[in-house]
Amino acid sequence: MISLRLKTIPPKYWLIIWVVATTLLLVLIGFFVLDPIWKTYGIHVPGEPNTKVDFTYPVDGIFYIRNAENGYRWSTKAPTSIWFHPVISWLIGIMPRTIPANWRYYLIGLVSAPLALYCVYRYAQNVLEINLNPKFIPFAILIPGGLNMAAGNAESPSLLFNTLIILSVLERFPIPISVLIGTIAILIKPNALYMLAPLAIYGVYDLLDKDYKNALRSLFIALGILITWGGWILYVDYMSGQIGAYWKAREIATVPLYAGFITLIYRMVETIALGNVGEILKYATAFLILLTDLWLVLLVPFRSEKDRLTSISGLIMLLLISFATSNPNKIFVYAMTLPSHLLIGWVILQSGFQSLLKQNSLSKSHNYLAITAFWVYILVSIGMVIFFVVGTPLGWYI
Amino acid sequence: MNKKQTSDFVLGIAGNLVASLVIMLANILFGRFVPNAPREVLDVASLVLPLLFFFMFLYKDRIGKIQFNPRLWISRIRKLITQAQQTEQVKQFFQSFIDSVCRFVSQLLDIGHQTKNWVNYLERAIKPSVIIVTIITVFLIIGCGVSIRWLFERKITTAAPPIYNSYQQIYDFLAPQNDTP
Repeated sequence: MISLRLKTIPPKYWLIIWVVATTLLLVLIGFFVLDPIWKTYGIHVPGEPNTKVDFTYPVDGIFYIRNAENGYRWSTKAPTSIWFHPVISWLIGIMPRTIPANWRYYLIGLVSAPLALYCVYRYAQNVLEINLNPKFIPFAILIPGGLNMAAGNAESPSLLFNTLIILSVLERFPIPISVLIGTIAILIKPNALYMLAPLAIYGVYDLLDKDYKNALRSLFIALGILITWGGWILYVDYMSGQIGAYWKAREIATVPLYAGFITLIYRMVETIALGNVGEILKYATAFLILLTDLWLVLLVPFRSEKDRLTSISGLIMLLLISFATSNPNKIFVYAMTLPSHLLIGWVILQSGFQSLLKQNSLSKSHNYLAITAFWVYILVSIGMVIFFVVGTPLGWYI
Repeated sequence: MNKKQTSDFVLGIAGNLVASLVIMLANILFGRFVPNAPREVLDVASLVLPLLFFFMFLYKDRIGKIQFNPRLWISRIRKLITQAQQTEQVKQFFQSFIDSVCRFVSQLLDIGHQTKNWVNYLERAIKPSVIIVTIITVFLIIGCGVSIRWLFERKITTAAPPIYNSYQQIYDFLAPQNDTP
């Protein structure tokens, strides 16, 4: 009876149903898994010994909240204030004050998550040769870093707007709206910079195809991101009364290039040899996630090679920024701000399941490849889930 | 999975990965156990060996067809010794030897003429994306090998910045002003 009723639901509603189901799952995991576990640690939020960590504001969430409540402290002596871009704090500020600030922060992440999942699914429909079954959307939780969506976070809004940037090119949004999306994306987090490389690739391909209007769209979005970023940097400098204040505040997270351009790799090796468990896992997971994505993206059936290249370029931007700062800071959750990271996970999981259930028409060797990729991905993902649950309050990946 | 562009180039990259891992291990072992060995050779090999693997993969069909059968050669020599005159034996032996070498060389040279494999491969596998991913993978692995060697040799004398237990330590240090409102 139930199955008959389910069959009458039109296919287009399944996407909404699975997105909503994923959101409910995220809420349940937040309340009944992350919160009790993290409370057992008894750890305080950074800088405030009397405020204990809970799932609504782990890691650096407190800084967005304090910026919203107390305003920015415009000085390089308060780097943990001026590090953070303003949109999340603005949103916390305009929400009803009857809701505690940490819950407002959590709600921003929670509302962004389903919207982001919907947009990434739409992106997948645009670029994939195969149909992605919406029932794989809840598996976003298993994808490395995906569990972050169950806690208060700024990565979900960042993922939403980064995906919208790509969608605005693929689906040809009006140029002013596309630029606005880019502007908001960079004011949420600097992670919007990852989108510059995909925009450049789409722009060049459109230029070669003589689709000048779309090439111009990519260019305008990229310029919008860069100009807004530049504007924010100047504003921070102006308000702090010091030229270069934006960068000076970030120096603490930047390690000098003492081993040339392979400093980051050298640091990883050094850390694995001499560091503690948290540091070892931070470096190992950062590289593992990037390499897994880079390898698996070659197996994803994109409609066009330019879509594969844009996915790779986003991952390379993530890698390059880490190399530039010689710090694998938060790669683990920052990968979640790339729409292709989710897409790769969904495709590998779907292909693997189909091969295991023999529901596809692939040759024997392709089936073998799909199953191998699937099990490798499952193993990495389970490891990453454990890493996230155990390591987040301990600051293992920040 | 994509039917058009999968297993072939994945195997190609797998070859490179194996080569890079071998070099990485060699780099580490040389650095650890042979302190005065010319390790620069290994750094050059870091570039050449992965490419060699890639080349072997490109021509795998042709390489597979090369006949390298020493037993056949020995049986020919034995036949010569037992059946022909001594001077004739030497003459025939050299002729047979030269023929075999010529055949082997021509088979090796034939590899270069195997354009079909190239075209096939170029069409199916060698895409910019594959090349980029290969380069990054090889770079990271070789980088690890070189770094491990440096670590053993303590080549880097600049003081490393402190490794914090977590950034929470830095946050606590930097954010005492985060007073609860």
